[in-house]
Formats: sequence, structure tokens, C-alpha cells
Amino acid sequence: MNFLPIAIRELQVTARRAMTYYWRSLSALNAAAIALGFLFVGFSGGLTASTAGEMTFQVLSCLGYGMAAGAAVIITDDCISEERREGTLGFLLLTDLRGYDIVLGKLARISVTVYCMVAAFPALGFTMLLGGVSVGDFAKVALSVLNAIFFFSALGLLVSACSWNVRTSFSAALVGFSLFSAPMMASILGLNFSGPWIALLLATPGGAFLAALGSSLMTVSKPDFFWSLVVSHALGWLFIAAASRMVVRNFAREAPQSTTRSKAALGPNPAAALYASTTEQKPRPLVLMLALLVVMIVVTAMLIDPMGWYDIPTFAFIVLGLHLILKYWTAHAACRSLPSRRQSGELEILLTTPLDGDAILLGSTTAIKRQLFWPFLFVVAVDGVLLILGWHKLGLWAGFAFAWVMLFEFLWFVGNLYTLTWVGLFMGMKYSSQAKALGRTIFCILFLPWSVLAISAAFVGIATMGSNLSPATGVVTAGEFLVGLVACNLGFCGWAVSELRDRFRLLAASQAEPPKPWAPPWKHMIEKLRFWRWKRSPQSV
Amino acid sequence: MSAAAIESLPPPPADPVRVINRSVRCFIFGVVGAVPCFGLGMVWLAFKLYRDIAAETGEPVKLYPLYLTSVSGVCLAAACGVNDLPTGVLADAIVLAVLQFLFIRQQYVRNAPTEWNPARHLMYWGLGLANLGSILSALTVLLVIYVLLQT
Repeated sequence: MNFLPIAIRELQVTARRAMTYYWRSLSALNAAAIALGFLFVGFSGGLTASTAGEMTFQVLSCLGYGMAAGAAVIITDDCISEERREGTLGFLLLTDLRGYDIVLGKLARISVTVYCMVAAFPALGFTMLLGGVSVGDFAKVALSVLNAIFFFSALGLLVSACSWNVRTSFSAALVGFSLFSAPMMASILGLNFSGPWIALLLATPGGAFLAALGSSLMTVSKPDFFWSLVVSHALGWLFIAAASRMVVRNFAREAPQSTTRSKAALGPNPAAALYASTTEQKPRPLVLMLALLVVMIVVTAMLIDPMGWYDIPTFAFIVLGLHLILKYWTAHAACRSLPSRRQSGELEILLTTPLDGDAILLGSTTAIKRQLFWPFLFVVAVDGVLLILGWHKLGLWAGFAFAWVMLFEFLWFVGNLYTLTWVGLFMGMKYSSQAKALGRTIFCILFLPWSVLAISAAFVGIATMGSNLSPATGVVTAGEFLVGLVACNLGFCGWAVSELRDRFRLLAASQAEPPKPWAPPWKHMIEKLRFWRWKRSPQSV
Repeated sequence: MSAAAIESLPPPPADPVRVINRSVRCFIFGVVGAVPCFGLGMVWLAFKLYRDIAAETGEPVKLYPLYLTSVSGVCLAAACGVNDLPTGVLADAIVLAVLQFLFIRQQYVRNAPTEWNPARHLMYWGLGLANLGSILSALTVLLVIYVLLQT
């Protein structure tokens, strides 16, 4: 047997996948766009070359760290539990494969993230030419980001090895990610880790990252780079070892019992009753979790700044945190609503009844609404209270701007929830893997507008060559972002609704549709041109 | 039955309810898509639905003149804008709108679908509105660039 056969196979599959190359190009483009945008803005006169280089370095490093760590967790959190659900893990263990073969094989999945990061490094290295950043800083940041990818993917693998269903694994991975990122965030926000508390930073890859940023963030408490790197890397290997053991131990563990069905009828649509009976999660834990988050943010703010914590930044953190979590829950509920029914065969049975696709969709959306109604109400109440507190804090006239911003954020939040529901339902039906559906949904609705903003800001920077930047440019950029946001939400929502209404039976019937090889639009055009030429004169082609 | 015999069979008839629903949806997408810039996603959906419905009802799709006039009209508007001729831009926009309206109307009258579609006019309205939205979006972008360059 070859050494690590699953890892070799995963790497070969990834290398042959067209999307690997497109993702890599996209991440390089994004990094280049951000770097160019900052550099041109920096060269408009407000900054020196070295300050512009340093700022670009910080922003790119922080973005890269956040995205790479998040992607590593998302990619790995369901890879082993998926095999367990489908019953293929047992088959793998019937062969000569060991637990570590499987776990390290699954670890090879993160090669896409590594490729993307490596593609983005030249843009980061470009800042060295401007000054303010040394070769050592660059090398340390690159090393700490790669270490973060390894650490968080090891964490994802451990969570995946311990869990059975996708909801548990994803939520646990998210909690782990938040826990291991919390010390770094608190340190960046100003909390001083001194004495034995520095061990909290030392054990996370964030500590090495902060230390790697070096002179850039002077106020931050930083552990020693080398020790933090070694400790967090060792912790990552410990996670891998634990995951290898758990894979062998838990491969035959039975599925958890499904929740008992409630007998209460939920309106005139029988599909709603059927869906609500199994997808309904008790709202109290969700509301409690949200309340806990509010308390955590307030306590952290009090620790960081005991005198000035009662201010707008704390309110903003609370609002954005609550909104982000509810958006994630909505996407999650939507992505797993229909596919779990399809997998269990319930959807087939439903479609043999007089219920049509529209009724089933109505049932699903109603069930999601009922499931998230109380958490939504809690978030709205917190928003209202914070609006009043913020207005009171800022005064009557200055508070108007704050109220407008809150209103915009709330409208964006509600629009996003609606879009995430429909796009999540569609993606859940389209992709066989729920984790993939969730990832695509979140990428399309929550990340794409920011990516568009970064690229367009770079174009503006290039077009104006960093000079003649006026306040009007800022207004245009904000307007452009707003347009991108609305167009993205409307477009994806309309697409999902249209596809679900038109092809519901087809999507419900396709159990695991093999993915079509993606080809760029120009390939279709070239093929059409060839066909047209062939039609005109078949002999010449 | 041989493969040749299967190929010679007529395609199954389109579901009229589905076709009507999709035509109405195409119109709605077109209405939303007519809002400049904000409705760009809907423009793409309206065009996609138009093509899908036409394929389902057996209607020929010839939109190349529409694309050609759109691109040339926007280029002309940009040229007029660069040379500081606002009346030229306005005239170009009016000529473009009239030309495209006539072209879509001609398509509606001449093309005969093999399947009956009572909501066919809505489909064409959706197409026209979506096209209008895309041109308005392009003109808005040009206007913003022009204003930025002026300031």
C-alpha cells in the first residue's frame, strides 16, 4: 500500500478540478485589487510610501488570516461525519487503512485554501518594495497564516470525527473557531494579556499571527512568535491524533434519535406541519445563546475599557454579531430543510400526494419562519433597545445619523434573511453535500458584495491613479456597494425562486447529481462559433 | 424502436400552465430589471427566462441585432459624452429606444411559436423592460463616470 493513499487521491482530485484554478485566480485577483486600491489611495498624497505599504500589509494579512482560518474550518468540519452518515467510513476501515490515513487524507482537502493563500502572497510581498515591511515580517506572517490553516483544519477534523450530523459538526466547529479566535480579537481590541494570561494567546495561532505583525500593532500584547507557533502547531497535531483515534472508535456509532413529532397542526398546509415537526428546534436555547453573546460582548467591552464601554462601538458589535449569527442560522436551516427530507425519502412520498412543489416550498419556508421567529423577535428587541440607548447617548440631532445607519442595517438584515432562505433551499436541493450548499449560500449572499466592492475600489484607484480623489468618489463607492448589495440579493433570490418553482420535481428526484464540469462562458461561445462555421461549410472544419 | 425513429418523434408538448407562469415571471423580472443598476440581476434572469420559454414553445430566438444596437448605442453615447455633447447622448438614447422597441415588436409579430402561449406578450414586455434596464444601467454608469471626471 502507498503511503497515505487517501491524501494522494484527494490531492490528485483537487489538482484536476477546474474550480481549484478559478478559486486560486479569484483570491489572487482579490488580493491584488485590495493592494492596488490601498496603494493608489495612499499615493493620493495623504500617506507616505512606507505608511501605505504598512497599512496594505496589515489589512491584507488580517483579511487573509480570517478568510483562510474560516475556510479551513468550513471545509473540514463535515468531511468525516459525512462519510459516517453515508456508511462509507466502515468500508474504508475494512481495508488496511488506519485512522490517521483517513484523517490525513481528509486534511489534504485544505489544499485549495493553501493554494489560494500561496496565490495571494505575491500581493502581500509587493508591500515590501514600498518600505515599512521587512522580509522577516513577510515570512513570519506567511508562516503564521499557514499554521492557522493547519490548526483550524485540525480542529475541524476533530469536530467532524466526533459528530454525526452536519448541524452539530458545523455549530461545534464554529464555536471552536470563535473560542480559539477570541483571545486574538480581545487583544486587538485592546485587552492586555499580561503574566500567566499570555498563555491564552500562546496556545492559539492568533498569538503567532499578532507577534508576526510585529511593529505594526504596537499596543497589542504579543507572545513570543516562535513559542506561539510551536505550541499552536503541536496543539494542531494533538487534534489530528485525537481525530484519528475517534474515527476508529466512533465509525459504527448509531445515528442520534430524531426529535419526536408534534401533533399540533400548523395552518392549512399539511407540508408545513410535516416539516415543522422535525425541523423545529426549540427556540429557547437559541434565544439564550443570543443573550449569552450579548453578555459576552458587554463583559469584553467592560474588561477592555471599564470607563468608556458604554458607547456606540459596543452597540455596533452587539448588533452586527446578533445579525450575523441569525443569518447563519437561517442559511443553515434552509440548506438542511429539503435535502434531509430527500435523503430519507419523505420528499418522494410527499410528491406522490396531491401536494405540488409550491405547497412543499411554502411548508418549508413556513417551518423556517416558525423556527426562527422568537430569535428574530429577540434580535429586533435588542436592536430597538440599542437604538434608543445610542440615540440617548449621542443626543437628539446627532442621533439621527445613527438611527439612519441602524435602519439601513436592519433593512439589509431582513433582506438578507429572506434571500438566504430561498437561496439556501435551492442550494440544498442542488448540491448533494449540505456543507457545500451552506458554503455556497453564505459566499453568494454575504461575501460576494464585499468582494465586488474590493475589486471595484481597485478599479477606481487605477482609473484615477490615486489622484483627484474627492468626497464624491466616496459617495460613488458607497452607492456602488449599495447597488451591488441590492443587485446581488435580488438576482440570487429571483434565481433561486425561479429555479425552485420550475424544476422542483427534477431537483427532488436527483439524489446525488454529479457536478457538471464548469466551463467559462467564452468556451460556450467558441463552441457555438465552431458549430456555426460547421453549419455554413462542413468541409472546411 | 430504432434510434432514428426516436429522433423523428415530435417533442412532447409544453405544459401550458408552466409556460404561462414563466411568462408572467419573465414580465415581473423585466419590471424589476428596468430599475437602473439595482435590477441588473433581474435583467439576466429575464433574458434567461425568455430564452427558456422560447426553447420550450419552439420559438426562434434572434437577439443579435438587439445586442448589437445596445453595444453600439452605448459606445456612441460614451463618445458623445467624451466630446461634451449632452444632446447627442439624449438623441442617441431616444433613437436606441425606438429602434429596439421596433425590433422587439417585429420579433413578436413575425415569430410564430409552435406551442400556444397566451401570455406571450408578457414575455416580450419582460424582455423589452429588461433590455431597457440594462441600457439605463450602462448610461447611468457613463453618467457617473462623466460627473466624476468633471469634478
